[in-house]
Amino acid sequence: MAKLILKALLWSVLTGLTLELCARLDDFFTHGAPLLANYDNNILNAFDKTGNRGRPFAHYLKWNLNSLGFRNLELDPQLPKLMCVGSSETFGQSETPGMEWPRQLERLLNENRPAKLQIVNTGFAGETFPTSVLRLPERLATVHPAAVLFYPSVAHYLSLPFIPPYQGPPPPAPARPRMLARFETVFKQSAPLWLMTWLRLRQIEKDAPTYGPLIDNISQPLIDRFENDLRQAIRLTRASGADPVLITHANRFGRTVAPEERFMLTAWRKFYPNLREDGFLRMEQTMNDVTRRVAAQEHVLLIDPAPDMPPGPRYFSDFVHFTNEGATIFARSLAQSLGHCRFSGANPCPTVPHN
Amino acid sequence: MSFNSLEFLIFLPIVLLVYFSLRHKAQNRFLLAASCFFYGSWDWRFLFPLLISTSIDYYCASRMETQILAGESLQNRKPWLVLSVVTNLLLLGFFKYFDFFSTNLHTLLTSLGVQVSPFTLQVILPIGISFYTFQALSYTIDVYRGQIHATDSFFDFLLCVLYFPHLVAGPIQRAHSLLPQVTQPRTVTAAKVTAGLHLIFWGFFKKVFIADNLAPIANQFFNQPYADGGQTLLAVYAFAIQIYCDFSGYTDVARGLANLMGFEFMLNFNLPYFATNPQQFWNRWHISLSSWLRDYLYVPLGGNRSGGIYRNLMLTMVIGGFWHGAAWNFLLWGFFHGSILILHRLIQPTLDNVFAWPGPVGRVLSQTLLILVFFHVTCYGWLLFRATSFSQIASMTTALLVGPWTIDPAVATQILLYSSPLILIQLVQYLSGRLDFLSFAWIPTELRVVAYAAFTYFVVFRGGAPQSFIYFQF
Repeated sequence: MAKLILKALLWSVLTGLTLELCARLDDFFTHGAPLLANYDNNILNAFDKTGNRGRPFAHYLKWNLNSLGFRNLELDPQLPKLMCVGSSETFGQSETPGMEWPRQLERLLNENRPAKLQIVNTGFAGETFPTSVLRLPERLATVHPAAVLFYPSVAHYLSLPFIPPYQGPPPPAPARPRMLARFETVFKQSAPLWLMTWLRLRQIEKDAPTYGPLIDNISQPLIDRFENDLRQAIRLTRASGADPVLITHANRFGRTVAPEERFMLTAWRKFYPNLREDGFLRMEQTMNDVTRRVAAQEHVLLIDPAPDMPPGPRYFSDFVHFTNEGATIFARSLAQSLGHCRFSGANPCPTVPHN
Repeated sequence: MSFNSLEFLIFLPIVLLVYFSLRHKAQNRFLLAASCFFYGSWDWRFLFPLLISTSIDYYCASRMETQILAGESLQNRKPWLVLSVVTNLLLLGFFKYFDFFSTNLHTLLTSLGVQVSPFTLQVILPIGISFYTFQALSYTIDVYRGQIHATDSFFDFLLCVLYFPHLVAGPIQRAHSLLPQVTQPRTVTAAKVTAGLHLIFWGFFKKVFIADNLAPIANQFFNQPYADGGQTLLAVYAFAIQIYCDFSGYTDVARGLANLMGFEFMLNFNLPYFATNPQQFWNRWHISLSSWLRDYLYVPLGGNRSGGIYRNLMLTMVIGGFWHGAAWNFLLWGFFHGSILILHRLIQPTLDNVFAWPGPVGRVLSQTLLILVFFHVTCYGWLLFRATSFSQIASMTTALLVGPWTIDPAVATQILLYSSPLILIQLVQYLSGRLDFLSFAWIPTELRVVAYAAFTYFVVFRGGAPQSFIYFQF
């Protein structure tokens, strides 16, 4: 019996080691990943006093960053530029490379334009809008854009009160078998919906207390902060000589949540456990209303694709991240509004009256 | 519930756990219940046509058995056989072919100027109906011929038909082989379990890593509105490997699962792409169907008896093609294979002379050439099989013959990359003459564990997007 147990143990170890070796060789040959060091999305991160940002020349799986840490080709000094500011929806989370909306927008705008322009995607996964505003002067000085397209990920505001102050880069993560992450992914992809929702609800229950009392709506101070950040972003952009463009935030659900889509609302809530599910759509509407109001008051070009984006899994891979097709529709909507702009000289978008 | 689903991953261990804790009789009843659950998980209504067909087959077989025991003549048994055959074919015809005939009749009448409103039933095709109908038919025909005794247990017969590993996509098990395995206690040996696990691993590898990764490539080309010679060639290469790995992968998993429970299923594929002529191909491809067609259609039609041999071949192949689906391209595919079988019979003596190259090197070269040529003939057959319309067949055939020819090296490399494990392994199997090469019996157990773990990696993490098994639709 003991011999059998020993044998089973040996086989288990051998299986584990082989799987891990296969994963490492696979990463090495497919992505040029290191064989021995950790290989996860932290590879993309560099740190400064504002938190984590894109690490120059980093590449992880399908994501490649340039010398500035942007998901972009190197800047072409000859071309006028549009700078996109946002979070993972802008960075491109689920789309295949080249299909993220800023890249598609670049292709659409350049289609019939004799003088080409370059879109600079400064969006970075996990970057909150307040952090983007903090980094804006530096980015404006580097990129010298003719216009800046702001696509803020509004849900991040929910977590702002709980983000600890920056205390330097985190210590290197302990070595973790790569197989674990792979198994997690496969499990998430293949587990039945009811099981995933149940697990998410358990996680929400566990995490909610650290996020304070449960709320039905995003709080007024956070809405005010968002408004201030928008106005600050507009001021900074104009001060650099560029034109700001505000974009309303789109999500998978549209105006109401279809019953078969409620599980995705729970998935969204997992990241912001103290806001009840029904509060998310109200939050999106409230924040988009703020964006519209600020754009009107500040005489900024507003692009409002949120109400027109078709909902559902065909266009969104999760609650807010686009699929290739979703990014295409989104980019088309932006291109339609920006098509008439020249993006050169002092008055790139003549239809927008300046203060 | 498909073999490549999470539900099955939960279902199987539970079934095995309960199965091994029971005695023979209870094992059979439990397997029957599990099989009903497995089949009903697609749609519980599918169980009704199956129960109707098996009940009538059981009753007819029992009546014939009584007649045999009473020493009555073959002629007296015929009505029961006719009842069984007609019931099965009516059910198959109703679910699978009614809409096809109705639509085509409507088109024909309309073209003749007769105005009738179209009538289709729009019923859902019960999954695996073609497979279990043929399986049940083989039982009554064998009893009629006196080749087997009818079972006195309806539940045993029902298990023979319903047994979940082979129910939806075969192999089409004959009653003379499966029924004794149901009625007699089964033994599960370590060798059987090892062989079963090997088949399951290899089957999943073929299905998930090879077939599912090639599916998008083949689909992309076959969904294109225009045809190009190079792309058509890549499309048929991708589809040829995809359909083989998809179907033989399923069969291997089915055979492996059966082995785990002490059953033994027949071999369904024997390196079909190493065939040098159509006759060899049909002795190696979907063997359970081709041997069924031979025994229950070709031979009763007259078989090799001079005079009707070509007609019998053509009829068998056209019906075999139509068995795959209610569409003209399946008929055309059957006609194509019937034609090449006839052509091969006609020119076989000449071919034998032409390819009788002297010496061992000559033999290897001539065999290789024949394999390559016949593989491409088979591939053309797959074009007929996979195409969505006659116009696509025409445009792809024209493109193959006259171009234009553009080959995307990246796509060609992808096809080669995904096919290479199959090509390499089957080459070893072919040259060594050992189909069990992959059971790794020739290497120490620890290395075998490593090999299976590597297979698992490619199946779980490098598989293509899950696709349902192609043969489920038949």
